[in-house]
Amino acid sequence: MTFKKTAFLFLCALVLVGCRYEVSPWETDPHCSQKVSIAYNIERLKQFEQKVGTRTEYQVVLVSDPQAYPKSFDRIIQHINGMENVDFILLTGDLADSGLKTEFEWVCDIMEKSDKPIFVAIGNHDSLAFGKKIWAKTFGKKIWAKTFGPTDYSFTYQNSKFIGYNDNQYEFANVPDRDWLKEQTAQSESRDYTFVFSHIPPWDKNFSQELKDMDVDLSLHGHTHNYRYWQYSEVKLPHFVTANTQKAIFGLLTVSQAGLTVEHCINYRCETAQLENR
Amino acid sequence: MHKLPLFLLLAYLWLPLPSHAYDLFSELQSGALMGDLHLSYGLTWHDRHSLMAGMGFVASRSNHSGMKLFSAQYQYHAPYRIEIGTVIWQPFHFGIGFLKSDHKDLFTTLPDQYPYRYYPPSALHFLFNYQSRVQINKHWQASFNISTMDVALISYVRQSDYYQENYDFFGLNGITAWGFGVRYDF
Repeated sequence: MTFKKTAFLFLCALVLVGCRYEVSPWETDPHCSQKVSIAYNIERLKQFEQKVGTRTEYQVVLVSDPQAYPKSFDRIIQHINGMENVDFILLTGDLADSGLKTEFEWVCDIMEKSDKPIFVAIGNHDSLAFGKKIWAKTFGKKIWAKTFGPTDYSFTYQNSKFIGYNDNQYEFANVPDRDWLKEQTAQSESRDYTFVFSHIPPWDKNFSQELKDMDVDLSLHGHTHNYRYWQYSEVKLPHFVTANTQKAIFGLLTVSQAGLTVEHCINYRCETAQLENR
Repeated sequence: MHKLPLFLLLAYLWLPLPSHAYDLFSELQSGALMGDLHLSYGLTWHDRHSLMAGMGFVASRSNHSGMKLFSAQYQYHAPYRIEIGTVIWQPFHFGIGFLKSDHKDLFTTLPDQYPYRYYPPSALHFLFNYQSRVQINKHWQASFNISTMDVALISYVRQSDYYQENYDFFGLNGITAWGFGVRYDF
């Protein structure tokens, strides 16, 4: 075989291993490992809790809307890996911008680098294209469910309950599932705090009041791409909304027996958030 | 108003052609985001430029029904060729075009439940294509294709250092897909 032929075949082989055979932009099976699934992360957090025992104070990071900006999300995850007091991360939706497999894969690749358990809530953009079909049709078999898990779920950590729910009303019928939320927030035994997290902040004052009536202490969200920490003056349920990850922005929740502190972090510098009344 | 530049570009590419100055061809592709199979028909002029339109399909999968795909593409053929014995390798062809799906869960016009301009069309993507061809005989060529789509290319341009750090081949592994095809020159 001549040198040119060898070089030609080598070049072909090089290119072939360099990218994937994909038949359309609308493929439905992302190459994401089990490490991103909710079930895996709940188990991971449980093991961590068993290891550390009771914590008088711990922190939770809130990140949202990495859509189309994997670089900033990657940098944030790397930074959080070095934050010793952070026990886990809540990622409140819009992992993808167009609901495409490729976009989910970028985010999966970054999530897999996280040293902390990471819990996702589904966003409206995640529901586009086949993202919506994937989730809505059957639990456990389609893209979102197969990759990440259910869109409504909860877990308990350090005697506090964290409840993730789907509230993308344009993309899904009958959300949020109020009956399920009532079931989850019902207290059979005493707990320190109840947190809810979803992509979109409560659509109206009535729902915020419903959450308050369910004894929710703090409501965590993304979607608006702007940082806000607010409450309806009549309802008194604080809502913390973090910005998207286009810049290095995330929220930092500190949970202790003494109370809750929320910080807004930009370029890795955090300041205590000031609660606004609406 | 914004259609004028496109019209002028097409007029520039098209009008100088004498009727005998173009060659017709047909191309069958698989992969590279163009479907399980995609058949295109087009013409080449000045040996440098091609326009083609095609139709393809993605067969049904376990989690979605099958879909038809429609495409239109412009391709530029760089004037390089390498002869390896009896084989002629033309390594550089670059294309830009769009791909539309007819699947019921995708849309080109925003469905009624969404506010005005809430989302861009989900059934339409612009594709950017690299093609390398080997001339088998007078009529037949085999091609190797690499494609990327609009959202991936935009993300790559905005954050190329991220892709370069995390994916092989200058980060292109994170945004591209490959496929192959055959072309018949009439």
